[in-house]
Parts: sequence; structure tokens; C-alpha cells
Amino acid sequence: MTADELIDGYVADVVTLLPRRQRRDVAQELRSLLTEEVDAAASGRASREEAARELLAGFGRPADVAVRYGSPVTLIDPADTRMFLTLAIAGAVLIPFSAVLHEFVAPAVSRRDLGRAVETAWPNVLAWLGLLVVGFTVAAWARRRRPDTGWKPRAMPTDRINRLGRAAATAFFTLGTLVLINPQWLLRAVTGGRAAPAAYQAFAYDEGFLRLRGPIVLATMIAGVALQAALLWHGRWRPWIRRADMAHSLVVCAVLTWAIAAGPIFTATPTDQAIKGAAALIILITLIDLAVRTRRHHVRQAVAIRE
Amino acid sequence: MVSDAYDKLEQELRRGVVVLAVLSQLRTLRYGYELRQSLVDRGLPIEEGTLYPLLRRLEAQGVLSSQWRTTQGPPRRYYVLSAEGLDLYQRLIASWRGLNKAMDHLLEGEHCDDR
Repeated sequence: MTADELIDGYVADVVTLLPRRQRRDVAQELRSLLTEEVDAAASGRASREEAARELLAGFGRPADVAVRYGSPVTLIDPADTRMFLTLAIAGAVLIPFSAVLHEFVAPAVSRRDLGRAVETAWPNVLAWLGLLVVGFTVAAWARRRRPDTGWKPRAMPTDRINRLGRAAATAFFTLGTLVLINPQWLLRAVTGGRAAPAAYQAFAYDEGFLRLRGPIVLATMIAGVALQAALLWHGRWRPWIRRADMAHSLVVCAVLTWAIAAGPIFTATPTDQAIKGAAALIILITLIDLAVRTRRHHVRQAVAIRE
Repeated sequence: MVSDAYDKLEQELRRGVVVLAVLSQLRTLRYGYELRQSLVDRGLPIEEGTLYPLLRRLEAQGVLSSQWRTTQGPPRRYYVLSAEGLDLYQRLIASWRGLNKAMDHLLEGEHCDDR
């Protein structure tokens, strides 16, 4: 290759990345400048081609040079990159995990194929990433058009709890636990004992569930009620309550995943699928909530240190 | 590690003065290669891959005006400060001198502290 061919190849690689209206002009100027640089570098050398190779290698990657000719388009603002990565990784983990949970909800245990479930989740992961890119791009574009007014002050969350609200939530949770111990009791109370036998049958627990999984799920729920009672008693998040609550959330996710994966919960398929679907939703919401709470806790800890 | 940091920080310092250095040499018509040589001769070498695109960006911003000339040798694009560019250049000089003065004070203060 001659030195001029090398220069032409480099110029072509640069201008192909420029807007059409700039190409001809930049190509002409860049070729003329590079030729002059090579001529100057070649004086005292055996080969002009060698001088051209050395000069072009030091000139930079054509893509980097092309970017310097204009204002580079930024799709995702550097300030948003951390949030983008957090959401992207969360989606890449949670979407395949939801597919696995969905497989657990399916009635036929023998036909479960977790590998296939994860494989079928990948298009959704890609769709999620695409959605994130579009969302962040639109947000960055809107911010450039109308710059943000800045930071808005807001109160730092404290360790104190709203006792009334927390008491109501605990009462609701306790009632739910009691109903799950004997759902047929609720049916009897609501209908005055006039429901059809099939309706009672729909809420009959599977024997296998009652032997081991049921008691463990119940113990986990009772532990949750006990934790909420301790929180109500203290009126604020003590460090040990916070740690216990986070550990409890993880245990809830693990126990519920095992409970829905290991076999039927109710004997009637529609009820079984409905309760498993609800459990799967609780697992996902708990995991997201756990991640958000852990992050907030770390921020609060970092801000609390003053020395 | 510290040597890497030095290279990056030194590059950032130089990047901050490149535009003013270029404008200072474009009160008269010059083409890219000639401008680069002029900066090298005065002790401020700037990479070609940085300088040539910068000229086009400054022209697009209206700071420079340009024209093709063929009077001395092959066709070359010559650049010079536009009227707005000259005004901008004067303001940048004032700003640069202010910064320089402030930095001198800061660095002198550091020497006094050392003593």
C-alpha cells in the first residue's frame, strides 16, 4: 500500500462517521493536512509509507477523531449511568427468576423445565433493556431541552414509625394468617354455612403441604407478626429489628419459593394456582422491597456518621 | 497509579488552554499544519487528531471563519478569527489573566506555608 492509499483509507474511515453534509469538505481538508504531515515526517526516512503508517497510528482511532468534529450524541447521560446499570441488572436477574416462579405455578410438576423457562425469559430481558435505553434517552433529551432546576429539599426518613398505620397493617397481616390457617372458616363465616360442598373442597389443603411445608410457612408468618409486634412496642426501627426484618424477608422469599416449587398447596387446581401466583408476586415484591430498603439503610448509615 | 493520574490531570490542564492557544495564533490567516507548527515552535505541541477537528468545531460555532486558498501550493483551508471570535478571544484573555493571577496567589501561599 502506498502512503496516499493509507491516507485515503484513514480519511474514508473518519468521514464515514460524519454527517453527509460535512463529509466532502472534511475529507478534502483532512487528506491535505495528513499529506503535509506525512511529507514532513518522511523527510530523512527511507519510506514514505512507513512514515504514513506511524503518523496514522498516532492520529487516533477514526471513530474518536470523527467525534471531535462535532457534538457527540449522548443517549444515556453519564449522571444516569449508575441508575441505568442498577435497573438493567435488576431486570436481568428478576425477569428470568419470575419465569422460574411461573414454571413453579404451573400445575404439572413432572413437565417442569426450568432451563426452558429461563431461555424463554431472555427476549423479555432484552425488551426490558430496550425499554430502559429508550426511557433514559428520552429523559436525557428532555433534560437537555429544559434543564433541571436542581435539587429539591426533602426530609430525611427517620427511624420512627407511624404506630397507628403499622398497628393496622399488623392486624391485617395477622387476620390474613388466621384465614390461611383455615380458609374454610372464612367461607363459612361469609356465607353463613350455606356454601356448596364444592366450595369448601376448593379450599382444602393438600396433605403433603400440611405435613411439612404448611407448618414452616405458618412459623415464618408468625415470626413476621412477632417482628411487627416488637417494632410497635419500641416505636422505632432499632438496629436489631432492622437486621431481623431483612433476614426475615429473605427467609420469606426462600420458604415461599420452596413451598410453591415442592408440590401442590391446595387440592383443587384453580385455588392452588391462584395462591401460588399470589405467592410468586409476594416473592418478587419482597425482593424488590428488600433491595430498596438495603440501599436506603446504607445511605442512612453513611449520612449518620459525622466524624 | 499516581503516574497515570499525573498524565490524566496534566492532559486536562493542557485541554483547558488549547482553545485560547489556538485563537492566539489565528489573528492572521493560517492553515491547520502551519498552525500546529506555530504552536510547536512556541512550546505547545497539540496532537493533530485534536487540533484539526477543533478548528472545524470553532468554525461551526462562528468563532473562526475559513476559506480555501491555492495561492501557495496545494489547496488548503485557511482559518482566521471572525469578528465575534476576536471579541470572544479578548474576553478569554481577561479570564485567563484573572485565573493566572488567582493561581499565582494560591501557589505562592502554598510556598509560604511550606516555609
